[in-house]
Amino acid sequence: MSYICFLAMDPVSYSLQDLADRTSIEPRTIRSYVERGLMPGPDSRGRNAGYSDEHLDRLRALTLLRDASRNLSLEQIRQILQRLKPRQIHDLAEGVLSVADVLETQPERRASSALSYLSELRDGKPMPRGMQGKWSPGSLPQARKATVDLSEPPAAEEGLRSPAGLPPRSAAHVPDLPPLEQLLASLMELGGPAAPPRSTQTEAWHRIAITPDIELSVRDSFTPEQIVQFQRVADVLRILLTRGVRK
Amino acid sequence: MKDRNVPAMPAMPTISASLDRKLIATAGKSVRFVVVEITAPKLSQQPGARVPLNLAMVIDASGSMSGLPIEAVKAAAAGVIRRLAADDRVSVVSFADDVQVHCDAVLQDAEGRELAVSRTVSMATRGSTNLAAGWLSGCECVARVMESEPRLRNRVVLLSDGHANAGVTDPAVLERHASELRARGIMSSTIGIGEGYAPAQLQAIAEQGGGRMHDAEAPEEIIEILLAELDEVAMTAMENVELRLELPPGVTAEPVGGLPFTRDGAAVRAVVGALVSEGKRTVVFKVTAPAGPEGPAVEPLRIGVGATWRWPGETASQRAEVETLELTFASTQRCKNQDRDVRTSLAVVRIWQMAIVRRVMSLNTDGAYEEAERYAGAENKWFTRYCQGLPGAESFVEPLQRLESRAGVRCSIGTSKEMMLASYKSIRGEEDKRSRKRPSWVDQIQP
Repeated sequence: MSYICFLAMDPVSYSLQDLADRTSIEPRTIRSYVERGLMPGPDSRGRNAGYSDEHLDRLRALTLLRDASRNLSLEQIRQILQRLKPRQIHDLAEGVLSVADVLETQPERRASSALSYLSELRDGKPMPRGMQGKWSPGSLPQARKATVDLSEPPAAEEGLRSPAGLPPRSAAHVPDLPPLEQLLASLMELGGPAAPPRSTQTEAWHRIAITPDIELSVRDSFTPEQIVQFQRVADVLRILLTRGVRK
Repeated sequence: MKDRNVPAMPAMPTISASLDRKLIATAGKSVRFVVVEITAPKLSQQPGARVPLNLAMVIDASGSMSGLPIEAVKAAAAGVIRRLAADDRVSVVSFADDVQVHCDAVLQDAEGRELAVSRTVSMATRGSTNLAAGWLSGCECVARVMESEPRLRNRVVLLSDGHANAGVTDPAVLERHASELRARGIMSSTIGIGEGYAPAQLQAIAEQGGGRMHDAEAPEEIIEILLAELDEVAMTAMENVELRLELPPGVTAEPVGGLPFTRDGAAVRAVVGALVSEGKRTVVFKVTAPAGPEGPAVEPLRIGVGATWRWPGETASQRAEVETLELTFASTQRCKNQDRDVRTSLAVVRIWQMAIVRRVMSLNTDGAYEEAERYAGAENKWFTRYCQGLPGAESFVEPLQRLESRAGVRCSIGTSKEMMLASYKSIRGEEDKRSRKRPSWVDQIQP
């Protein structure tokens, strides 16, 4: 059927119930498809709302897409139908065009395999949806086979990178940062991003106030001399937080 | 696994959805709850129909695991290996500062089993805790096999006693990776060992990884929990289950209880994870409606409810459309006088109560005592109001009032961990697999 012939056909008007009967889709579901933008509203309003062949084609195409690919959400189907021309939707509904043909032409690629995903992590390639910069090259170490040499020292690169794979920062070169960011940058510069100590199961703590909102909690297992040192650390933190980093 | 059979083609799950109230105020901002219940089909016992397991056990071998804990974990891992069937594959990975792959997807014939056991028991403790690198290396072992053998149950079980303090430690990043790997067919479960582990990291991996989080406080519990997890893997009837609401314009929704969820256009998908044979799961969505006109000619707001999942060993997703729920605009007075669905409301109350416990304990554990108090007070007000008129309401409200009075006082690590775990498991409808039963969360806050 040529496109001209298609246009030249007498317009047919269906009621909502006609559409439901022809597609086995409940009237209220059809209404919800209209509300969600999966198909246009009726051509005429009121009690005798009329629908056209285009509506029927859309519903049939929609059903085919849902049945063929159970991964597709209604929103994804809406986007697919939006990209198709009325003629293509008609061909899909009539079986001239296959669902596979339609999906192949969609811009979304299929998700990579788990191994590809992990390889990309290892290679430090950009990650999807906001993951950029959170995983640096080499932060997933090349795992050693235990049988090779168990006496080998641990991989040197681990634990020596800054958090989130960011390059080491210098507090002197990060102007206009808020106090907390400046403090973090200063501490990173002072101490490097080495791993923090492990927690133990002790429950007794010394609590050292830094500001009215922030305190430093130190386990009770430290000597009084060490506690004094922590109090000095708290003093420095207080100065950094309240006065900012000296440029 | 030996003597465990899995069906080739399970029956369909049972899924139902309901609203607690059907009228919404024309003025807008009405909050209603949608309760979706899903029950997995029963696994039929068909000899020869089982799907082989592609399992990685990822073990924390940092210094704090020295002594009894590591010995218990090694014994547990060896016990699991001995229960695997000849067509299963196992990887054993340990992590500390470094990551060691003790065996990489070894087929569990007689020779492979002996090799895996001997490599596992020779594991030694060392250094700090690069949990992410260990877990991702375990995933890699599983992923390599998936490339050539698609019909497997792909599972990673991570055992750790501590806080990740090297490599990636941010729970949000771990969540993201767990979610991406779940979408690609790898499920991750976690087992926290002892009292001092960091639930946030293990929970992030298990929740977004589509698996379960367990607690093994004493060394002797490690083996029972690991074997219980293995049994659950064997009895898994549905994987990567997600419940979905398709929302009309202006309506927002999210699952109650901190359940992971994603938004996809107008759809909200709650991550349920794996369901065992005949396992049931209830998910409550809090729905907020916009303003709208009242009248017979006004169409109701329609919320489509559906589910997606994978059968174990299958790569294709299954999908079911459950039903369309309708919210109708009405005057404020009609809304106030409307009937409520009591069964649905009670399901809401059960999950909401545990969601409050979970949040309060999370804030308390983080030392945010004032915020915990404020949150408990504000949320209890709404919760109490919602409970009015429900049968047995007092039994839900009273423990929360007690929790509110204790929210600003620092809880012990043990109490905090037990209450977080109890709320996590209740929200997810999971059993506590430990044979030594602990006091309930309500008993934990007895005056």
